[in-house]
Amino acid sequence: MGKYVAIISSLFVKPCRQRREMPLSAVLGEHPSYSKKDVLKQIRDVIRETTMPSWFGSIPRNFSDILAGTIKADEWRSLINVYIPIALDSLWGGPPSKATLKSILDHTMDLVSVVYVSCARTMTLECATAYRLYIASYVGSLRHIHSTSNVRPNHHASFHVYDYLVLFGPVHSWWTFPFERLIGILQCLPTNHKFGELNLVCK
Amino acid sequence: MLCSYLKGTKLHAWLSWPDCPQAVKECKVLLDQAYGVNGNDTTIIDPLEEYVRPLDTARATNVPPDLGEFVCLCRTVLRAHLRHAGVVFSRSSTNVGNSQIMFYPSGDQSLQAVPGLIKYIFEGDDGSMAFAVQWQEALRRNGEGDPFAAYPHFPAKLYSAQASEKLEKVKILWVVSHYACWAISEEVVVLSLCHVSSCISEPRLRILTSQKD
Repeated sequence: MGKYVAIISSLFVKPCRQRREMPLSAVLGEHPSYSKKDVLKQIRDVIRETTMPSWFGSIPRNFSDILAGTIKADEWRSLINVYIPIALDSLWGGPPSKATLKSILDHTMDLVSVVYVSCARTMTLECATAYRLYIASYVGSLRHIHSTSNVRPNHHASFHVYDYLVLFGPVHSWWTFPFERLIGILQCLPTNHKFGELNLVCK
Repeated sequence: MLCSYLKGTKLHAWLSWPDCPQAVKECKVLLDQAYGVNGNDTTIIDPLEEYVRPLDTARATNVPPDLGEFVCLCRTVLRAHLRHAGVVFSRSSTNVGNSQIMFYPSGDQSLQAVPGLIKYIFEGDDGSMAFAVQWQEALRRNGEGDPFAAYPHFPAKLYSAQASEKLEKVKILWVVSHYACWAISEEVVVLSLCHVSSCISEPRLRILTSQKD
């Protein structure tokens, strides 16, 4: 799961940081096909207006703003599962959409489908094969769709998830969210930054 | 650490296999209850008790006119919320998000789950709690122009923003999950959350229920 978070982060966090460093007057026309400002506005609108059950974790309404803070792994999962695909599909999925925008949408939906297929509660060989097709399509067209993006070790590692799905079954059995939770608990513990001295004190 | 992690993963995978002995699966249920995500949550009421019969403190009220076809008596128990298997369901007048459910029509699991809004949570004539649901109406153009149809693994679909006036009685075991809803003028995007939810009904509960029925 951490791999997807890294990939999703590289898709959205990096452009957001770059955007913040640019002057406001350069927002329009910064991309030959679409305005990032419009896309971010659409994502924020979807976050604000979507009716969700109470168990679903909330996402900062000012997503991508510096005041929103760091987006956690579980929040990235909510974004890629619900808000980002709805926002992009409603923007670019209709008939009047340009071919370039449709290809960007299809590429993003490959990643969304990867997350959905890999997080299925029942794993079959067909699901694992679909996962491999989607991730191959996503990584294969990455440089073509986003010319400034490079293929990273995470992309290579994500191909091996196919083997894990075949070997170990549904990802819920072996994903690392329990470790993420443990790290969160450990980070909240008060510490004086003097590690390994507890035994000496006890003696 | 790696070996320990791999052993745990293999154990998880084995427990998920259909040929895993039933006795071991029973142990898994006990361990999940003891150490699982909701294991130390004492606020959770036993789901079996809650939907088989209403709480003793519940008071009966007059049956609303549109609920009359599901309840023979003139008074029944109406609820604002119902918790089942750790998931809270609400009527739409109380919490719209918790009232949005995907369910199998007439409980037929061979059909595709459809979205609906819980209007009432009531005690049926058999003494069990059930939902009175308004269907989310399908698009008149029969799904044409639905931008989500091109992505079969993304479970979103366009529906009409209107909910049906007619109610349908839905048993709790027919419910698949909640759904997310985003309105676009006269249409709504409905996204099933069955792949996202961390709360699922344990198979053991279904077995026990079917035995009771």
